[in-house]
Parts: sequence; structure tokens; C-alpha cells
Amino acid sequence: MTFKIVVRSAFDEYLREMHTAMDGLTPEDLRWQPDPGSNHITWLVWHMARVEDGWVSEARKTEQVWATSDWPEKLGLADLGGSNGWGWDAEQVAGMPEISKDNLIGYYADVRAVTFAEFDKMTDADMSLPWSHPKSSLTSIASIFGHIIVEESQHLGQIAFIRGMLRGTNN
Amino acid sequence: MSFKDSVRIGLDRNLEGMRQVLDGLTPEELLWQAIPTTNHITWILWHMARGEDIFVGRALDLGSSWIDGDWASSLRFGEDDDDTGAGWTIEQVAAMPEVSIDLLRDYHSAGGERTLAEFEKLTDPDMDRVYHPMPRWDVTGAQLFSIIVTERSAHMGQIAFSRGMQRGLEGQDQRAREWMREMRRP
Repeated sequence: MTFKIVVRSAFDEYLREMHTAMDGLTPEDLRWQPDPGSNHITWLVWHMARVEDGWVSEARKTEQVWATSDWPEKLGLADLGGSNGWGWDAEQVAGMPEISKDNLIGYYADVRAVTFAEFDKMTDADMSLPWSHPKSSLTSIASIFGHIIVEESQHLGQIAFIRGMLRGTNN
Repeated sequence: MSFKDSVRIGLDRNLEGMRQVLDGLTPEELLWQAIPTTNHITWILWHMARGEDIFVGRALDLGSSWIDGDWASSLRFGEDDDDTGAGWTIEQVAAMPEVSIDLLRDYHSAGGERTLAEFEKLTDPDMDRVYHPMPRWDVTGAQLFSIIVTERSAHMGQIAFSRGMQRGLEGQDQRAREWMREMRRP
């Protein structure tokens, strides 16, 4: 067992908890916003999947699932290009088309399959590879994976928080 | 660089993120509840700090910084020294008093820095060892740190969400605002 398992376990943990938080939610629940400026669960799940898709593609120099599948059309978001929802305003969030829970989960499942297929091939040597972008503080492949598990878990927490507002505790 | 570095970077980014998301919050904002049945930031932060102190302290046999660092005398809101706030009723959450953000943040940081320091000493075989963070709960070293990173970050996301509801996009902490401006530059 190595530290690689910590990272893989974290990926497992946040996706599993995301599914738990979505369990039994209705289409209305998925679009509920506690106030007009807040994100809803649909945006959060889609954004989480897009973020993971983007970072893994970047780290492994592979194509994104979003770019090589018909998920953009299935989700009614074909006109977005490569956007992952970052920087959207309230109008854009509220204006998302209706997306079924099955489609949200389906896109993420395809992303996760690629994530693990790529991750499982990686070694410590891959972690050492440099990476940089003028607009990012990350400087290596290791830092990308350290970042992903923190960012995605934050959004998972937000989904659970919204569920709690909708359903109360222990629901 | 290695996978261990990824985990360290995750632990560290989380601690840095916490400093940012708490930046400038007022006593009222710390106790604000979006609806009467949600947690406020004070509870979330106290729960995070107590949880990490107990979980990591017991698993790695570090003793209690709660007692040793004398945080208990000013931050004892639970029923006993094992209480992390988990399972509290909404009445218990609502009854929490105003707590100094500096005190809570310092206690949380102290726990996080301790976790990081202990993490540095661990090696690959430790990820396979079985640890006992709570009675009747055994985890491997890998599970221990996976849970710490994801659980801490999940709660950090909730604090950010509550902050966002109260302050809107324009009320983000200074570093987030600067980063957004930078990212938007062509």
C-alpha cells in the first residue's frame, strides 16, 4: 500500500458521498437554490464532473470525455464549448437546461472511468512531471491531484449542505 | 515529487483555503443560519477542529491537544471530551454562543499543522497499517488521510457556501477576488 492509495481513496470517497447526497432527490430538488445567487445541485454535479474531466485531461494529455462524446448534446449544453461553469453569473446558473439525474451521473461515470484508467497507470515519476500555467499556482502533476481532491470535496460538501436544507438532518 | 506530495499538497491547500474563507467574517456571519435547520460556520469550524483533534490524535497516539494546549477551557461546548458536534440537534447548534474567530481558527490551524507534521513522518508501509481513531472504528493509514482531506474540504466548501449566501460573489475574500480578476484577464 502506498500513498497512491490515499489519493485514489479520496477520489472514491468524494464521488461515493456525492451519490449518497443525491440519493432520492427529485428533479425539483436538483434545481433548488436557497437564494437566487446560490448554485444548485445540478450545476454543482455538472461542474464537479467537468472539473475532473478537465484536470485529468490536462495532467495526462488526453482528450476530455466532454470533447469526445455526445454528452454535451445529451445534457443540452452543446453550445457551451469547453466551459466548466467557472465564473458563471446567477443568470447562467438559473438558465441551465433541465438535466436528468441519470444523465448527470452518466456523464460523471464516464469521466471517472477515464480518471481511474489513467490514474492507475501513474507512478511517482509521473507525479514529478512539471506543469504550469500563467494563471495557476500549481506547478506539478502532483499538485494537480492534490488540488483536485480538495476542490471536488468542497463541492461535495456543498451538495450535502443543500440536501440538508431540503430534507433536514438524517434524511 | 510523489503521491505523498499530492496528499501533502491537498492537506496544505485545505489549511490555506480555510484561512482565506474565514477572512474578515463578523460574529454575526459566523452564527448565521440560512434556515433554522442548517449549521452555522461556528459549528462547522468547531466540529472540524474537534473532529481532527480527536481522530488524528487517537489514531496516531498523539495525546489530546484539546487538553494539552488548553483549548478545552475556552471551547468546551460539547457534552464531554469526545463530543465533536456530530449528531447534535438543531437546538444545540442554535444555542452555541458567539466564539472568537481567532480562537476557533487558531485551534483548527493548530490541529491541521499537527496533522501535517505527523504526516511527514509516515512512509508507504504506514498506509497499510491499521489505526484506531475512534472506538469500534479501524481504518488503514490510507483511509485515515483520505478521510481527513475529503471531510475537511467538504466542510470548507460548506463554509464557503454560507459565506457566499451572506456576501454574494462580490464579498469573496480578498485573495479570491484578486484571483478571479487575474483569471478573467485575457
